[in-house]
Amino acid sequence: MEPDEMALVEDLDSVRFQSGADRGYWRMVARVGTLVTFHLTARTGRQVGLRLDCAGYPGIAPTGQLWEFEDDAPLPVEDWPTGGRASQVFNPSWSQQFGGAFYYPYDRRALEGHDVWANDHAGHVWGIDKTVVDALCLLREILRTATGPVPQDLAAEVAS
Amino acid sequence: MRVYVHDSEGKRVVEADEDASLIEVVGIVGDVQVWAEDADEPLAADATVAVLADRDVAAVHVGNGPITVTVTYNGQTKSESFGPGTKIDKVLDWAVGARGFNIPDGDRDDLVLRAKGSPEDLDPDTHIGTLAKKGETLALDLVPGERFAG
Repeated sequence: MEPDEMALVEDLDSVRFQSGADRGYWRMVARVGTLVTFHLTARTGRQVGLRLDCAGYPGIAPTGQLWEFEDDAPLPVEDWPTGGRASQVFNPSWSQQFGGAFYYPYDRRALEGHDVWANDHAGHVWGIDKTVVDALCLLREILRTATGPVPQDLAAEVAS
Repeated sequence: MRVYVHDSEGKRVVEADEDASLIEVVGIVGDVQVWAEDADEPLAADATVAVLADRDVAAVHVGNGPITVTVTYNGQTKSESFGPGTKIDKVLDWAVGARGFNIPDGDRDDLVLRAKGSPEDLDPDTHIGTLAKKGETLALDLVPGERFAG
């Protein structure tokens, strides 16, 4: 096992990760090397799948994609969370040029060209002390602010 | 049964039988008490792990008495007393709710709690007794979550 995979496995086995999993904050769906898929649930109940590529972890920040488990493929853009901070982080006009990456300081693709974020967002600087749990916590907080898309059952209720 | 044990240093996990004494399971040393998560009162000294069985997650806090939490938002402060095993999520519910700053529904989900003056968001399952260390007070800021732009 390579050092990045070993470090990732160690953090996925941590009390902090397990505590969040037991509380229903997230669930690891699958892991192949340093590619990990998770099911994430916000406080509001909104859920989303995501995949993190943790090559070079933890020295290099992961890069992520929203994920559709049924098709084991990237989540279609029309299903991406919108509203609040979600519209900035899950930003199709930017993300689609970068493999669906998240526009936030815990994504290595977003960090390129955004050195200013280290000063502007001092509490969210990726470093050797950060773990995959920090990324999941921040994504869960961002997902909490999403207001769309309206879940299908609610949309049907509104339509009727 | 898996039990999360929080204290002033952090959290750990132990496996315990339901009929085991909680005091023995958590390894209490000195004049401290065991609090169920989010509880306002400590558990009885002879409580067993079974008292946690009906909870979604069995978690306790080993600590002293209640903690007075002061939250600052937009230059205003409000205070409330909580048990040391209270999660940050519960304090957030109070802070945005009618007994706190009464934030409108549409704005509540954009707010996060941080230790006073810190730029880092707090984990939702962190116990206030861990943040307060061995003190009786805790100061927090209620702020909008950061927007990443530029």
